[in-house]
Amino acid sequence: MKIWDKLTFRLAVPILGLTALFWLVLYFSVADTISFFACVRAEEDLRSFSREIFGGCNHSFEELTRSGRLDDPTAVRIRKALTMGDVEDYLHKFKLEGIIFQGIGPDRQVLMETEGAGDLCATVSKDNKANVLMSTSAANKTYFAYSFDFQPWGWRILIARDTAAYGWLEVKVRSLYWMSGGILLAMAIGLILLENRLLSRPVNEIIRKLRSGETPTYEGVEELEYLSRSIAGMMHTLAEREARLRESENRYRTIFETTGTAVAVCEHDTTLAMVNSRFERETGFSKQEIEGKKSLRELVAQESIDCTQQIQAMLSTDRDAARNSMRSP
Amino acid sequence: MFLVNRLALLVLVLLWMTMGSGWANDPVRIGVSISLSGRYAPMGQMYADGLRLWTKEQNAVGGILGRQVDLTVLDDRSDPEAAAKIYGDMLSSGRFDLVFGPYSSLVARRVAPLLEQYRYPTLLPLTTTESAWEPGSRYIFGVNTPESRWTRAIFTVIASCNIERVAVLVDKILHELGSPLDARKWAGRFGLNLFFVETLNKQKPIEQLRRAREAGVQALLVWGYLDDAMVVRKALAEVGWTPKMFVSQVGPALEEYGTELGDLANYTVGCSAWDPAVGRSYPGGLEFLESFYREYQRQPSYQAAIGYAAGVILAEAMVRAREVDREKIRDMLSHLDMITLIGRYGVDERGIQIRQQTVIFQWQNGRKQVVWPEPLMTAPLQFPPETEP
Repeated sequence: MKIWDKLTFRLAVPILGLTALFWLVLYFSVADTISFFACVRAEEDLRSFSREIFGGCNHSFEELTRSGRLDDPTAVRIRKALTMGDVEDYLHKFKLEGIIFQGIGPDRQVLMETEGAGDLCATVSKDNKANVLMSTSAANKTYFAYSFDFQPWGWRILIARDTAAYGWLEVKVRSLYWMSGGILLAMAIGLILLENRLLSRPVNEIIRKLRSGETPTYEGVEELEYLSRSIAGMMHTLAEREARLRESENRYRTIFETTGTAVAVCEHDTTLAMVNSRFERETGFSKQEIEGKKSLRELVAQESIDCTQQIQAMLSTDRDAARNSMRSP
Repeated sequence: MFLVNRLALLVLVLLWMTMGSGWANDPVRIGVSISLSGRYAPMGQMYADGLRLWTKEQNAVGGILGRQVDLTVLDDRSDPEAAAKIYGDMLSSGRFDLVFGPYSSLVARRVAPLLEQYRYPTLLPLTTTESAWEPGSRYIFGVNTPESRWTRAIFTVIASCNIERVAVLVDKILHELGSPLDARKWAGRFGLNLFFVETLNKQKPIEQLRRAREAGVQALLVWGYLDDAMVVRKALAEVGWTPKMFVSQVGPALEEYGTELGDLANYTVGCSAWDPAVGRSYPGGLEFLESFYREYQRQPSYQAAIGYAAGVILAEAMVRAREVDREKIRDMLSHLDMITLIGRYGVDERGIQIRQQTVIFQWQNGRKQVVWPEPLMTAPLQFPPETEP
């Protein structure tokens, strides 16, 4: 028997299939949701970092303004350099990458970049829009990046954070899903084993007994026990009927053999189906030579055959008339 | 039977009390290896004096957690390998409750892995090179301002003097350690033209100085120790070149620089985490100056002040930990945020000091004057008259 015709297989496939489908739908829908939340969170964080960096730049600029040295190129240069240092410290503290550009567009100039931002600089397009979260890849890492302008100095400041900073939730949920997948699989296998124990195995036991000609004697699951008992009852009834039939046949055979006259059972086409011993002796043929091989026509005169056929025809149409006709001399 | 049991209990209690008081009276044993001889001896001696003064004063007020401080100072002869041997013995013997870090970044870099290995929370008072902190360091904590802040401060001062061209001569060992960190980066940001960053040829610095002079260098920066600073200053006099600004990182902070060079020391700009001139700016600074002078009859350098401050910081961490438990002390040191006589202590996640400020001073008429930052300034920066236009 092919495996897919097995009861266990036919029951297991839908269980496993539905479980896997459920798990996949859950996995992708939740993973997608988490990814969405990571983006939202990243944008909020980067906006918050941007506000603080902007505040730092602004404070620095205002200090310069208050000192009355806004038109002193040396003072401005020093203030800008120190502000870049402060931004760099801030980025380092929060494990961010960042670049300060002088100006925007193709002629922009890199004023400051963090250690890991070199590759990032190459991937961020020259016309990247300010105040928009973007996702970019550099040096085998994916970053959420956000840029904003500090207009008093004509700076465009880009800050970026490795998506791994937000990946922990995804990783956790992913591992949770692998775990739940494992549990679902274990449950499905358990269900299959349970089904095997409660259904397939009893059914197979009943079938095995039936195949070997024994009466099924299953006890356990109520429905299957009922089935087993019913089959056993039917088998018992059949056996009894067969015994009675055999007994009747034996009795008939005894009468057939000991009637004291030659008796033959003839088919419609006059072929002799069965003969008794007396018939053998009187015709001189053995049973093997007669039964199924010889025709009544070969052994009996034509008139007897005609008479027999008339009686046979009458028997098939009107049994009573035939009986009366046979009694009359 | 009941009486016997009660007596036994009493004996046990008395025994416990006796042992307990015995432990409480045990001193807190602290070891340190310092360059008391060899190249770093002038700075190392100051550091040792600062630590000894702290020990004396701490014991005078009852020690730490009711236990006296027993400080053992050993000499590593300015040799990193000798220091590693000393620290290896100290840490493996278990005779010391705690240790302080050695003098100089080079020696500290050699010793740091041992401190991590034996899990001794250790203050590295005079280590400025950030490379001493390997990624994942957990047990070493800086007290001095890290090198990158020194670079930033020095270049700020240079840039504010309208200087355009700078040359940097670096001590061979420090250069190999990657110093001066971020010099090119900061020069670029300040719009300075960095003519060269070269390893100082201590035997023949004249050729390097001539090249710098011919290139129109206005500020010469020496990144090294006392001997480096003095060699270059003397060589400048020899070639007859007075740059607009001569800056040296460590050496000029020591009084020896002035006494040894006399008038030549004037106009030299130095960098320091602390200076006696700003001593009174922080709580306890004035008392430290007075007691140091009373004890040693000389002015302390920043190495001495930092050594003393390291003791204060460690004592505070131990008090907050409430016991001499190295893991607890480590946690305290990593989260502590306090003001000492040299300024603020606070470290980042690696243990590098991030809250200490740098001061720039200048030798003027045989004395050191703080010239930067402005709020701590004791005198304005001066330039040699021959460099004035």
